[in-house]
Amino acid sequence: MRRLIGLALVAWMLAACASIPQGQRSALAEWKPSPNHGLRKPSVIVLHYTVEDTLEGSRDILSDAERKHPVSSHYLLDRDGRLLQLVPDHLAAWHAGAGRWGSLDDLNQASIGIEIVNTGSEPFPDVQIDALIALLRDLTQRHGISPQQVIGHADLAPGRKIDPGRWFPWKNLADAGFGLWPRGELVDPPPGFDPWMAMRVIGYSIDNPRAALHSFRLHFRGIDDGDRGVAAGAGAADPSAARPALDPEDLRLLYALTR
Amino acid sequence: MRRISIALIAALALCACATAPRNPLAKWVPSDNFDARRPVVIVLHFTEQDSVQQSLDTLRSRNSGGRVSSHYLVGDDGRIYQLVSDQDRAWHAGAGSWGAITDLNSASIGIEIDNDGHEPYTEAQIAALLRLLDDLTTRLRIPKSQVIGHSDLAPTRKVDPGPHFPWKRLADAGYGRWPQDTASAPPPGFDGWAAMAAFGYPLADRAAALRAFRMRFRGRDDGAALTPELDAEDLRILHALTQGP
Repeated sequence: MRRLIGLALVAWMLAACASIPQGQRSALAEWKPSPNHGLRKPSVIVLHYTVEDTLEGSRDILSDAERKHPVSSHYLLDRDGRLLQLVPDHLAAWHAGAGRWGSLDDLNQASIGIEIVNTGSEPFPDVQIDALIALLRDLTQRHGISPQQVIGHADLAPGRKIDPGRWFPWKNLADAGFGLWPRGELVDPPPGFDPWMAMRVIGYSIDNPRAALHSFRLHFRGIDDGDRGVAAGAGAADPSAARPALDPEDLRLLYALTR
Repeated sequence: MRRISIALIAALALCACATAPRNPLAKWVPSDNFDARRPVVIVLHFTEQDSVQQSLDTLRSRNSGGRVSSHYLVGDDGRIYQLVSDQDRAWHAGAGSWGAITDLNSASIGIEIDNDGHEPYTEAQIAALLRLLDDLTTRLRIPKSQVIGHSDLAPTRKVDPGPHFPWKRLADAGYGRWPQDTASAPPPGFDGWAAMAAFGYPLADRAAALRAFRMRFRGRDDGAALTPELDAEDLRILHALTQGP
């Protein structure tokens, strides 16, 4: 009986292992294995806030496999800098959902997700941001991720998401070398500058221009005017018609970021 | 003894599963909510070699020039070989970028096509490639639009799959991005270079990017010495590719 239990255990573990590589071969091809390969690595880091007030509550949600839409992240960072890891870096966690960032249209596959304990209506303590920067340093060095490739959930899912929100100190991250940030003095762009193309060059999807502008302002200006463009975008026949007006500061920032 | 060996096998199985390096900065509290990372783009290459056998040797050995591989190799007779599992990272792309994708090997499936770089692709080969693309985009849920060439992501280093590659035929079958003929003319002031960057091309060397762009969308190779200036047809194509959402 003990042996049976043991064997069952081994079989279960092997099955658990084997369930990870799904559909790894094509039925159309002859298998001629090459030893020249490795593990797929992430190339983007996506930052979130939890909304949930506590580390324990957030961990419960991120480990709950019974939810209707199960979610997870690779890391969970508490207010005091305490850090939990829930999913190994080389696997895909379920944090991004539908969205796009430039040429990437399935962010979970290519990213590391970091959930930061924050309700969305409070500042982030310094000790938490220091711990985040230490983690970003570790991840970018270990996986060869470009330090610029640190974005917010709202950046890839404008209209649907606003985290890590207007309180998130992107400028502090930029000072530590992470994420996109305008350098030097801001100047007005020359005539003919196309700010919406610039928005796309940065990575924003402009399917819904008002939503894109909302996410852009959250990230680069710390502004949340509450207009996520959800109503304006839906069913708008001509996308260009739904483009909201950009103010001079938007234009200067977009020019500086794409110059 | 048997119990010990079972325990040992179990331990080994766990180790194999957990090649996962856990981060020493963090406390490990595992969640079951994860998948293997899936590729999101398909990169096409030519082998620049004379035979499938030669390519099989190159892609499966330690080369003097460094180890390389691809997931698939398509012979000129239409036979398809798989060398690396879809879930693993093959070594075909090298340095380069495609928009926000900065580690192409990690994000892609690589397909080598048996072609010396100077000859047309065979009918059997393109038919086989289309079947493989159908299989990959279905099974791995890669969007059909996400098919690019090696020269697109590494324009300063690579020219494959070259000006002979039938991109239009792929587009007619639904693969890769292709400009709509019905697109309106670009408005005055349209910034073609920004459009090229938004589309995905790395622009550190504009001449190289334009050369790769023209091979892909105009079937012509203007060589490394071309002047980096967009003509009316380039602008029309770029506008069509970046119009709308």
